[in-house]
Amino acid sequence: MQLLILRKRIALLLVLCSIFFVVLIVRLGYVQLREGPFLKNLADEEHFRGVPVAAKRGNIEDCNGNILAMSVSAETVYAIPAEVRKSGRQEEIAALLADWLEMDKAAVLQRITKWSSIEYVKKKIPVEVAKVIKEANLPGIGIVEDSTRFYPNGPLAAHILGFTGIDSQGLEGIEFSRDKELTGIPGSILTEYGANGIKIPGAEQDFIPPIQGNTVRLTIDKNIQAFAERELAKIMAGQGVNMEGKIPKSASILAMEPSTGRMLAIASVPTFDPNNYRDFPPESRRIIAIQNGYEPGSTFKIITLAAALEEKVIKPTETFTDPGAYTILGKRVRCWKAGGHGTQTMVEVAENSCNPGFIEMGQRLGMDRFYKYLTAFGFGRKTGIEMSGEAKGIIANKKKATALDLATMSIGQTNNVTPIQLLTAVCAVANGGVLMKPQLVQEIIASDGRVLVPFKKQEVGRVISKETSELECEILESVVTNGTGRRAFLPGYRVAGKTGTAQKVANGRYIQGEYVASFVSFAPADNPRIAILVVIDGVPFYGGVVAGPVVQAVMLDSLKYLGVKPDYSAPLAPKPMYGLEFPPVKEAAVVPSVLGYSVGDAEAALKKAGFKVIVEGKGSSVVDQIPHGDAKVEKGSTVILYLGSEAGQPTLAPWIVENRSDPDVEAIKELSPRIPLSENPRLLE
Amino acid sequence: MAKKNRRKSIVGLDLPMLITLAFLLGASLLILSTASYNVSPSDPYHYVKNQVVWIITGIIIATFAAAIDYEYWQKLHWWIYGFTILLLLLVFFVGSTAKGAQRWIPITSSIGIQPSEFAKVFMIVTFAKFLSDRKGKLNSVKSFILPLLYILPATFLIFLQPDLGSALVFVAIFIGMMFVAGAHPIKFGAIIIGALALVAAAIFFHISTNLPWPLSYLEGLPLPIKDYQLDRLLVFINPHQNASDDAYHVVQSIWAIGSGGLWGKGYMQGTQGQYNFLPEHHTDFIFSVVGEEFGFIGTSILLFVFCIFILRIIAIGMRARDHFGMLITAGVASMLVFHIFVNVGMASGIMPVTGIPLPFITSGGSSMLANMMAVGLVINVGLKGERPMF
Repeated sequence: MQLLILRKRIALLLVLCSIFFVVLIVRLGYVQLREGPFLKNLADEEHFRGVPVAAKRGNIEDCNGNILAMSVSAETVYAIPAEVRKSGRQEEIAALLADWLEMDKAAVLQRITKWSSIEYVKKKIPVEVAKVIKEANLPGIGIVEDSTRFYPNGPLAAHILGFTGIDSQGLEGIEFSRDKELTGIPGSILTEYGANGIKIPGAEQDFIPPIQGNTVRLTIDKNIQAFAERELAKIMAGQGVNMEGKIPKSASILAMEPSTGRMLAIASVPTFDPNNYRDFPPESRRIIAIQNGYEPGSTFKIITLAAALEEKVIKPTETFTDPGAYTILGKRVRCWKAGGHGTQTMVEVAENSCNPGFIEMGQRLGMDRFYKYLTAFGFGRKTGIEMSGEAKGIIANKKKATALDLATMSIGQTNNVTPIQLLTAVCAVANGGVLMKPQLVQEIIASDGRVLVPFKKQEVGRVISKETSELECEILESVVTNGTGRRAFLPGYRVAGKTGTAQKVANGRYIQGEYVASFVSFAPADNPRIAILVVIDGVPFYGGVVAGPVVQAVMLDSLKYLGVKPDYSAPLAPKPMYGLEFPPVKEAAVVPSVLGYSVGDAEAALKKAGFKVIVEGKGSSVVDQIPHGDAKVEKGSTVILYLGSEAGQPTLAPWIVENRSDPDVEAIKELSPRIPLSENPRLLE
Repeated sequence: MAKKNRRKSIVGLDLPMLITLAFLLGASLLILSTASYNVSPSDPYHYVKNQVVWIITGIIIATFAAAIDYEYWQKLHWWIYGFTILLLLLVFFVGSTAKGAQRWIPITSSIGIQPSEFAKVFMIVTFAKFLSDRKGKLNSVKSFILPLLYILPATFLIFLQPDLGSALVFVAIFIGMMFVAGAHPIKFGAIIIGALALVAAAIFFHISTNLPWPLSYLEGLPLPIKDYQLDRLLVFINPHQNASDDAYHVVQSIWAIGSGGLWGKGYMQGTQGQYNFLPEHHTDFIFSVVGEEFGFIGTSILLFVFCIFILRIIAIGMRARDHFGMLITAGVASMLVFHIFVNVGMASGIMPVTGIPLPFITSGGSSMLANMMAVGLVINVGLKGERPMF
């Protein structure tokens, strides 16, 4: 009887025990089935340690696919401190690495024994050193491929490209603004590690390949950029026409395609070489063309004229008499020509850049309408070009502006504009009346060649009618053919343009004898393919005299290069104008080509031909010269020689030269001759 | 007559229990071969070989235990009781210290016995006798006192080693056997729950700060265990917020079990165990290796087999011919279930870290021999018991 009761009890024990098992099964089901995938990740992360493999940064190309910035393989040394410590050879390893990597032993030791899972010892080391380290097979020390940035054209388009830092991160320019597109996705080498941080022998190694960054193709044309930089180099070498050997403070040349807003060139001096940007003063990285405002002077009259024509306050045929000054609010604003231009048509007012004529246009427009166009053409605000630090410019406060201010504003004084603003506004006049947003990036291309982001032109808005635009283009062509713009005349091409000279302001006063010379020009006038603005800060003469020839040179090379056919209806010579004739070449001489010569031989050859020589760069032989061989120039002028370690080779980091098997290095060698400044533009048909 | 007896004996063998036991012993070797592979680098199968020796020795011991009529132990029960206490006392004099506790009596330099493991089985036998003498007399709270006093010395000695886990096994055995012995269910249940509440309250006051008056007098209430032991007990509640080694063990164990998923990573493929992220993976945390490498399929099969095994033990108890035999099976079942529940619960994060081995699976001689001895006793109870009722 008793036994029966106890049997009941033990049967209950049976149930109780079963419950315990059910609890365990439920718990295991929860942990293993429900939480399983999540916990598996945690466990995997714990024993897989990734050595990051940097993705190859995408190239930056010009609009034709010429490489402006590229990545070259480099090696990085890393340490797994736990393994180093375990080997017990840390002192020995540190000593070896310090020796090979030319680092301080204590610093190396500190790094390789640091309490972390993985530590970089040194980045971007020479290939042969990497080989030595690999072969030494030190415990806990490894090599991973990395890349370093190389700009095959040296300083070409430096301001646009910018540069990258030690971790290949973009710091300035397109490298910075398009960092995301260029960077790519880093991969990693996953290796299994035990709880003690020691690599598991023969363990699984997983390689997740990095995804290469995208290519950024710019609207910039390497050749047009080179034409512009060549002219700037000349000016900065004291070779500027009519500069009397003076070297200006700064200068910039911008080129834009009027119909689309695509920037073809943005060049400023002083400049720098992005390959070793640290060697240049920070001021050299300032992009004058974008970040500096200036008083545009007469080039601004294009805008005044456009407004006056659009508002029909003037007729091109109507006459205006310039007495030599315009009296307003009791003040006389003088014409640049003493005594004035007398009676002239409005077209002639433009040709002569007659100040009273343009003041009259401004006064007829009145304050409201003038400001309307000022705003419509984009002055006083950023153009939105993809470059950092763009200035807004300063326009006079409309509420405080007087009739006198209106007068000075109509001739391009008082207001402060940036070169890019002015060029964009002029392009609106040139392209049929639509203000375009200036753009730098043509397209983004994936590493497999797919276009990810195509180019799309962006219209800011219509500012003048097509008729007004066409009319003004004719007038501006006349300025070049018959007027003050003759210095930019190109025989066989219909060039439109306008000079500009602004006195420099210091402490609220104009400085005498120091000018900002500028010239804006576009061609062909009936269907503009390119608009070019040259701004030279710190010149002794008027804009047309100094900036005209510069714009002329860039324009000619660019039109030929772009394959623009000469127009046989265009005049072959500008109308003579007193005081503005071309200075005749007194005695022409042909520059001998000295490419590849030793410095001594080159200097001797040039001196024999009657030239002065300026040597730039370091090296034993001439890599490039300006002007190039066969150019006809004034006898006795200066030739600039560029030197390199080897003729036809850029100044490369020595390790790049030594590693001959690397395909990247081969690619650089392909690109290595400096920009062939003397390369034949596309031949005329 | 003799022939008839023998026939009866063979029929009385519980085949399912023996099959499940064989499965468990085989599984032990399989699991140990992967779980202990990286523990002894000079000989990866060192622990497997040892375990084979323990299993064989265990089978011999179980055979002896099964062959000797358990009635015989009744007469010796005070001797056994005295021997158990003596053994536990001996630990304090000749015991070797490992991991801060004195649990071992060394035999040779590498082999020792863990008296607490054997004490559990001995105590089950003598306590079964003690309780069977009191059948039908456990109806009052007062009647619970003597059994408690009976089991207390051994429990206390083990607690002093300190081996909190094994001491708790005695508590589990006590509860299981008292219940089967017919203790008044409500009164006994109330006392158990009351005791648990008291312990919980004591711990609460011990760890609490900033209590309102007058409870503030109880802040930092001293406990008979060291703080690190308490931490071990409580760490499973929130292992991720804790930086201690035990928290690390628990987290790694949960990751190991969880990452096994349904099918597991495969034999020898578990990264947590093979790469040493999981500590004690050939002893206390061996179940995590099962979870990691054999998945939910593996853990549920193992638990299912354990469950069948336990249920067969209880089934044997149900047809035991007397109280003594029945109580022995109840004690063995309670002991094993407690071991399994606490060990698996610890590995999966629902029980405190107490270092209780998983019966038959965990590497270790004392545990294996003691458990096999217990199995032998149960077999004998089965042999002497009534025929199955089918």
